[in-house]
Amino acid sequence: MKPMVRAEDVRYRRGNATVLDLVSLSTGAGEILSIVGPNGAGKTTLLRILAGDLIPSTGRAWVQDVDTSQTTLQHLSRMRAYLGPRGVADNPFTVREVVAMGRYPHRSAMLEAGEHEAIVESAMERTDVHHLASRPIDTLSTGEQQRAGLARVIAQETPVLLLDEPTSALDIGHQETMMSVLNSLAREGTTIVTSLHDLNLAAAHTDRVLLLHEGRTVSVGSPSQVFTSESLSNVYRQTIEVTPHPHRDCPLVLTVPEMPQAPAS
Amino acid sequence: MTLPIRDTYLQARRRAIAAAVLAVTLLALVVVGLLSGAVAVSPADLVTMLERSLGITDDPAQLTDSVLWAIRLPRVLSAAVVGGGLGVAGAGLQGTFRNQMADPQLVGISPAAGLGAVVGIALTPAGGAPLIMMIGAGVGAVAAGLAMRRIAKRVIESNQFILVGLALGLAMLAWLGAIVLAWDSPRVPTFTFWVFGGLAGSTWSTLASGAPFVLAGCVVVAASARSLDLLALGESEARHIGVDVDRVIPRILIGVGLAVGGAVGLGGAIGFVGLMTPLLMRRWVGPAHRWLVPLSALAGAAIVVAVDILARTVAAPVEIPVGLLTAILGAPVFVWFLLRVGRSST
Repeated sequence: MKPMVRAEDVRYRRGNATVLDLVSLSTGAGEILSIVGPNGAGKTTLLRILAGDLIPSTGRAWVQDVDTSQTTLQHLSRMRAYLGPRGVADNPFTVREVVAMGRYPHRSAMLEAGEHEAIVESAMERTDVHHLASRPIDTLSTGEQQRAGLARVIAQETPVLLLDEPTSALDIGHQETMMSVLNSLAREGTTIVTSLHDLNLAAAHTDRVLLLHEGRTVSVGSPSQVFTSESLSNVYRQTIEVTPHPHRDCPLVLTVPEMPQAPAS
Repeated sequence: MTLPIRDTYLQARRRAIAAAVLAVTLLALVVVGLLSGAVAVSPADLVTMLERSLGITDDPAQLTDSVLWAIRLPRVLSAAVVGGGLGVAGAGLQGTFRNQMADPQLVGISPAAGLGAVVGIALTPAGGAPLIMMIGAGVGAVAAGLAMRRIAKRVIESNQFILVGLALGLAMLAWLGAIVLAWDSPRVPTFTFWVFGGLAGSTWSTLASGAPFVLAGCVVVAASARSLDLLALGESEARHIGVDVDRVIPRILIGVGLAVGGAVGLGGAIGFVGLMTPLLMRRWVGPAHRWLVPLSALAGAAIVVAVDILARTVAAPVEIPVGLLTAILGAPVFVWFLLRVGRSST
């Protein structure tokens, strides 16, 4: 299958620090790849390189067949959408206006009069913000802003979605809704690369996982391949147990208390 | 290129009403401005002068004609141009920096314009021509705007940005004061003009030099309305949907600089207009810049024309500097706004 998003031996330096070191990845159409790892592992940097925001020090990144450091902003805006962890920054525009801004890359597309509107309305419905459509963004809660942000990138209608912590401000119910929206987008053919802090969301809802630690790839593969007690405990410096999920066909990640030291005799 | 969202009927009506109210208010204030002052001028005098200048009547010219034509009209028009320029500049700055506290004076652009104007006068041997002053002011203001863009990239906190601008502005004002006071030349407007503004020196010649700067700046900012809307998403978010922010933002700031340069060259440092006007207009007509920018021009013009009338009449025959009144009236609005923001964010 032709890869939709690809990175090859990407290295990124900031000053003297190597933020990413020889990271590679490749995803096909309709696949959800999650990037996980502790704070500072390089997840956001990797996403921003894929988005074309940052140019790798060495190595290259492609969206479809286009090198993201070699193309125009306009071209990129029709190939990939990017959602930062804040969803959408505080601003006085309404949810509907902000979601409509996602249509900007397609402003010259030959669409029937109502088509842009229809896309905007359905994007708001998918992320459950339709009832907030006329509310200014800066009156919403962080979680609502995150959902409005997702509606905006859905309205952008790109084959690739790059999401940075899209669930960080969501309650457990909206986390599930968010992940099932991503799954339905993937079934329609959208390729999704998302960083996630919640390992169980990654395990339950994403096809493949890339585990990063200090800028390097620890492992990449299906959740059950990547999530092992040993490697997670190593990476997160915390005793972690992985068991089969009682109701889903995926691993369940649990933290367990540190073993008390045997008293000295 | 249309936004895929049409204005609702209510929004459109609200904006049309706002535009009409502001236009009528501005026109009325211009007439009041022409009629008020030391020499009594009646509305009838105004009408006769208009008729005479259009060749409708052959009545001999009167004293009021020259008062109106040579003194009041350029002054009232200058007030309108200055206010319009400051209103647009404020809207442009607040949009570009995503900071509703941004104001030409608070972020150091007006002081830079003043410093530029004085340096311009000092560097040209025959100096003192209004155009030299305007060019100096424009260069100073544009340079300050672009410098603030570099600073904005380094600071994340919006209050910090304002404080940096305030500090740089005070430093430039100090340099300006040092030059003006040490040089003590009749070619340079007084220090009061550079701190508190004033429109007493308005002539057709200053207006003709300054207005093109303001107009050009306003056109540039108004033409960037769509980009200003998209920048509300955040700079990197705007980039992600294809806005070339590294070209668009400098362009807007050049527009802002030209408008502020022209306004400061004409009226000196008049604070708070660039701050209050877009704040009030945003509450009235919403944040979309295709309306916010032109209506801020109308409202800013009306405000400065009105304040200038007060400045001339409140303590007549003594004239109060316009900027002093805008500070007295505007500072409480600023404080109210800061307190309101502080409350809603906690």
